[in-house]
Amino acid sequence: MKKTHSISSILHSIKSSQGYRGQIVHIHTIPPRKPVFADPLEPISHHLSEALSHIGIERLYLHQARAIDLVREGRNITIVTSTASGKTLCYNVPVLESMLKDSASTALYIFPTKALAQDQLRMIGDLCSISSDLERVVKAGTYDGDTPRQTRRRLRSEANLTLTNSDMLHQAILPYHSRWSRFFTKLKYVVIDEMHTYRGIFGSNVANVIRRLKRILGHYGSKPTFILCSATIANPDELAQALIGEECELISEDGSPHGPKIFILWNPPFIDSNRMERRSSNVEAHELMVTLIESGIQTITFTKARVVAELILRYVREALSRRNPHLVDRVRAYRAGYLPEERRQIERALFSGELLGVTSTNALELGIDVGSLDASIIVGFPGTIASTWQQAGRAGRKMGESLVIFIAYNDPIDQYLMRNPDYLLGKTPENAVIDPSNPYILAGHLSCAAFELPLSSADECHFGELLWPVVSVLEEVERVKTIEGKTYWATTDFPAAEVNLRTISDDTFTIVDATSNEKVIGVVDAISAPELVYPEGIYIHNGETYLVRDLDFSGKVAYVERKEVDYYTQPILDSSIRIKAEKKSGMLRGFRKFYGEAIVTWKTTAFKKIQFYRLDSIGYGSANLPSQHLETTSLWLYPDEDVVTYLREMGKNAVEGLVGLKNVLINIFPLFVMCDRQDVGGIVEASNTGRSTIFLYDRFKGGLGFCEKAYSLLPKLLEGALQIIEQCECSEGCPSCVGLPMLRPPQHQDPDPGYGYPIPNKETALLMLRKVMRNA
Amino acid sequence: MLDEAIRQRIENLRLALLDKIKDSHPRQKQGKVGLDQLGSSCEIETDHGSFALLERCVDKHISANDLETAANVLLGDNDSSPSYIFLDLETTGFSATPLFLAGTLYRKCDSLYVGQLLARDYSEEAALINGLDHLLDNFTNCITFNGKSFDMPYIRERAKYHKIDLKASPQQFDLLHHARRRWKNELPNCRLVTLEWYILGRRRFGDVASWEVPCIYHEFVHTKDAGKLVEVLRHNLVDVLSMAELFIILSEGRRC
Repeated sequence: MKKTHSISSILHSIKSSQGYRGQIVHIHTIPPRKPVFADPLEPISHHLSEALSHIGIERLYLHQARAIDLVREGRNITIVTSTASGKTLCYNVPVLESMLKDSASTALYIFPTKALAQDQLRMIGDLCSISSDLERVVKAGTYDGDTPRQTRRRLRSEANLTLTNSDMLHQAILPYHSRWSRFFTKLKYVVIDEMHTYRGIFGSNVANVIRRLKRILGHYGSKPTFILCSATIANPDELAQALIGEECELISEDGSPHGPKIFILWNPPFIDSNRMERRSSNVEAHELMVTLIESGIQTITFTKARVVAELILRYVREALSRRNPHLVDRVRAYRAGYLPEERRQIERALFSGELLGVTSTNALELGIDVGSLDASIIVGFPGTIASTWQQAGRAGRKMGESLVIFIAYNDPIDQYLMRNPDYLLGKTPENAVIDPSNPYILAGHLSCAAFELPLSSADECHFGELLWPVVSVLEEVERVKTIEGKTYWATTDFPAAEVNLRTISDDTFTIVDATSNEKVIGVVDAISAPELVYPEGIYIHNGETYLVRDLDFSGKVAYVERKEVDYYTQPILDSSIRIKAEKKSGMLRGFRKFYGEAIVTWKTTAFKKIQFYRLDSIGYGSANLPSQHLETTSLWLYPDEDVVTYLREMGKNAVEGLVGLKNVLINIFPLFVMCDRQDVGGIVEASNTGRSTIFLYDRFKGGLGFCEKAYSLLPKLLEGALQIIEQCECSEGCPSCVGLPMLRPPQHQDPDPGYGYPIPNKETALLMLRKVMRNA
Repeated sequence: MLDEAIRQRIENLRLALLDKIKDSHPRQKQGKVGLDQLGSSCEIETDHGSFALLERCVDKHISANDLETAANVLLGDNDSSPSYIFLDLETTGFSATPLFLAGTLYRKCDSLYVGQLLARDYSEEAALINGLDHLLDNFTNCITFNGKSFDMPYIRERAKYHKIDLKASPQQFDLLHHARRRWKNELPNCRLVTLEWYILGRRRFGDVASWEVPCIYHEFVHTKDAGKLVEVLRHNLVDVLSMAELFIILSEGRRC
């Protein structure tokens, strides 16, 4: 289908249509950019340049040429350019070139997910199939959980290009490195793609996996060049160096062209005269998507939750079936939980243009190559500025116009962004913070390292000054044994199995259609299962409604059956925190502070039935599911009675001040504690101490020392919080100070439309902190 | 110097880890047995350090002549008498973990000996592998039980780990394969203990279980108390002797 209208003419017709009610609150235009070409200092070997021209690449962009030059010199590089700017070429060219010169030399590509590695393998296969020389020389394969045993053995003995993921490297490659001695001995390049995903706990873990990789490589006498690629973040240089522990050249001058891009902020209109309720953002999103698709504009719609991706798909299909039935099959949903082959099929159909629209969670935010689309609709603030730009980057042609529409929910954060477009469009994206030397994380990885090769003084350069203090703790608990200056793993445990790189569990439930020969239709991770497939709830898959019959926790199966209904369901969650053991306590000016162990509990207690296209519920159901628990470490604090009295006298509510302070504290945690905002959680409640109390906790089983460190740095944290609030230019409170996006992880099904928490009163938090810190 | 905050965090890490193990295994301290009490052992020097060799004559358990005859039947090529060595490894896991004991049985001056090559701690593994390689290089045949899929690949993998080039490449004779061919249909399975019970007509009492072996070795390295290690050495010795007996029985079957 050809585009029938240009983007500007569509915008014009939207604005002049009868139903238009002034939803566009801001238009930001990003001017087109012309390509900047450059040649590498030495021309690319002709086999490779022929293959490249065969796939339409005649000339290289500036950043590609520069990357090739630096890598050929053996320099480590970090490439930070826009989505679809040809970053993969920056590493594929030097890697394939070196293989053409010496087919025994090897390269290791590390991706954050299996799917990305498999996607890259296809691209390399396509490129190599053009040239018989490349085809002969390059022996590439993905080494992941899906790789059959026989193939694994063959790859270990033959492959010169291995594509894997960080978890596989950690658990299945490094511990068995002697099987990889050929591969590691000749290793020339290590590619780390999607570097920006390695932040917080995950990033700190991956940095240690890289340290372990480097010491194994040292054992086999190789010292590869590192090539890192990243989406835009505030500190790519810093993150790259922290990840690989070496200097890295930054390449950020983007030579790729793009057409003009229009970025629109879209606020659903009020539906009542009191100006309280707004139209459903999901309904707005589907109408826009239908308009775009009908004009032949290939569109992706990003949602914050899986159920919303399905909901909008359903709305879009229903609208199309009335007006343009031939387009119904050209829209799909894409999200975690779809089976791999279904995902591959959708990716291919998007790439070929067979699909005109896709509704997706952030699953498509990472660089799976689906080609460039014309328009991106973002429904609700994804939580970070970096993520917003990633999603916006999915729309963008080399030449033609592209469109991004950010649709706000009727929640305080989204509404703040509507009022303050510069916050989103003008601010630098967030920092990515990691702390590879966190002693808890280090203890796990030093165990793995000792298993892989005895630790010695040569390892100080990899693990830093905490190496021996942590090793001596491991020695005391008889995990390791030092003999003549070398520290050996000394138990029968397999340490890599005890270290999970990610916060989310890798346990999955399968979703089975009980009426159709027990066919598996999807999967869901164990944490999300009780929020997605609770009995009597509606599970939506590919836009079709299924009634959940049973959720079997021991067999890890959800049984569903196809049932056409006119509603969907949303879980109602109840969460709480209980102090398990108080370990430390103290006074801090007008606050009492505590540190200890706590149990965070949450469960789906009920669910709401919501009619399609509407916001209000048409009924409730109860859910009787076991609770989920997180045993972790926590920091809690509450103000003295006189502070509460003072606030009351000032006409303020102390609870609001505490909620505001909690939000600021989580916002500034990364600065003091070296973690990601996602790594800590917070609650204000009164049931444990008998008074309103701020609880902050590590969102990781057993805790990782974030709150412990924050406890000792609390004066600094509170001073920092006060400064943030004082210096924030907003008047009523904003996401950068006392307000905060909901920080539930993306796998949770946010009951999102219009239920966000209000931004607490800024003045209250300010008065409270001034009273406590400055006695003013 | 580490700052106070870091030292405090490491202390907390220590307490947390100690908390985890506190009830797991009380350790007996009394009655420590030294390695030197295990009988005659000698220290073998290699390019990769040293290890211990415990050697004893086993003529009273196995007849050297019977074994010689069996070897001529099963390994001989009519021209010359074949040279052979039996081998059985004890390791600390299924893969990627150190091996610490290689039990061998060979003929020396018309007598049969079991030689047990022992790494007294993890640091001696390379020397053990090096010494074993030299030993195996003296023989044209190596007889194992499941050695084709376990013992030999294990040695090769650990040699790669230590960057040792192996030179020995004796012919492999895997008893498991032969036993399966012969008794598969008559026995519930062809594990070594099953064969001992049905074919050799004896049963082990008080033998350590295979899964205990790695724990005992780690314990020995930590405490230097060889009390339990004796049982592992005995277990390994019985394995090797049973292999030799099975070898003889297999050859008798072949002769009829």
